[in-house]
Amino acid sequence: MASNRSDIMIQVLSALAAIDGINYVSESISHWEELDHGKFPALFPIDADEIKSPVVLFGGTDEDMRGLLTVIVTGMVYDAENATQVKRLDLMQKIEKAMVTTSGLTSIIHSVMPTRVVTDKGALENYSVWDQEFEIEYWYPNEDGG
Amino acid sequence: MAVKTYKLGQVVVAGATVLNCTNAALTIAQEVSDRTAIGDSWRFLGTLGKSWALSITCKYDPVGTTLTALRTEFITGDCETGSIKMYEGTTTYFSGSAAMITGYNLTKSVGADDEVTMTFEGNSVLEYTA
Repeated sequence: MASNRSDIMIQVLSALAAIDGINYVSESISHWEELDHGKFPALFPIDADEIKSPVVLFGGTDEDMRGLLTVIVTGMVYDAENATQVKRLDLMQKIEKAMVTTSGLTSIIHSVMPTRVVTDKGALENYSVWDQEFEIEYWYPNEDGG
Repeated sequence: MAVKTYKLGQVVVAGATVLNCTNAALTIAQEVSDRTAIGDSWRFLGTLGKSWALSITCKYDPVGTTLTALRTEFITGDCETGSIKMYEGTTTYFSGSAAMITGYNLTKSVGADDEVTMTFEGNSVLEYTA
């Protein structure tokens, strides 16, 4: 299951795009007020910081390096009648479920763990914007790069 | 300077590489006899047999071919293995033609990979191939 950052993000995008009701998925984040209302709910995943270290002794195993990649999914919902809370909570759950159960992603990595949620705390009228962080562990051969 | 940090450490048992090793420790010992005479101020020793033992820790793969074979040998077999090689470089290694499995310890912890530690006692001459 040797993998790399690029392959992982392709699968993350695919997993998020398959969530029921999602209208837009992109790695290029936009300000919520500049996003067309027809694109909500929208998700913006990005591959963030990563920690790498040797995981097993070199020589006996192909996949001897471990990458701990942080993926942040920014979710945005819009509702003209201020029903963003219901939509936000529903979508949060779907994002987490998609990240930890989509076989296209889980089959190329070692594990994926939801680690953090940061919200706007209700500060935005008609919108809700939040980040969901995931830590993805994958192994790869040191000579290939991850 | 030829001091190595973490990198190379392939362990091969009966021709099959033990995958995902995180630690390998080879112990070579010399048994000695005490021939100090009564009343001597200093101790004098004589040589007896040498021995060697290898302890390895690796990530546990329940379906890994080599680990499965060793587990089966330890639980249902006579615990005898074929040759063992412990590489300390890409081509240099210690080796013995036979050994006995003397321990098999599986560890599971929350938030960590499952690991298995196996110990082998040499049942042959230990050689070094440069």
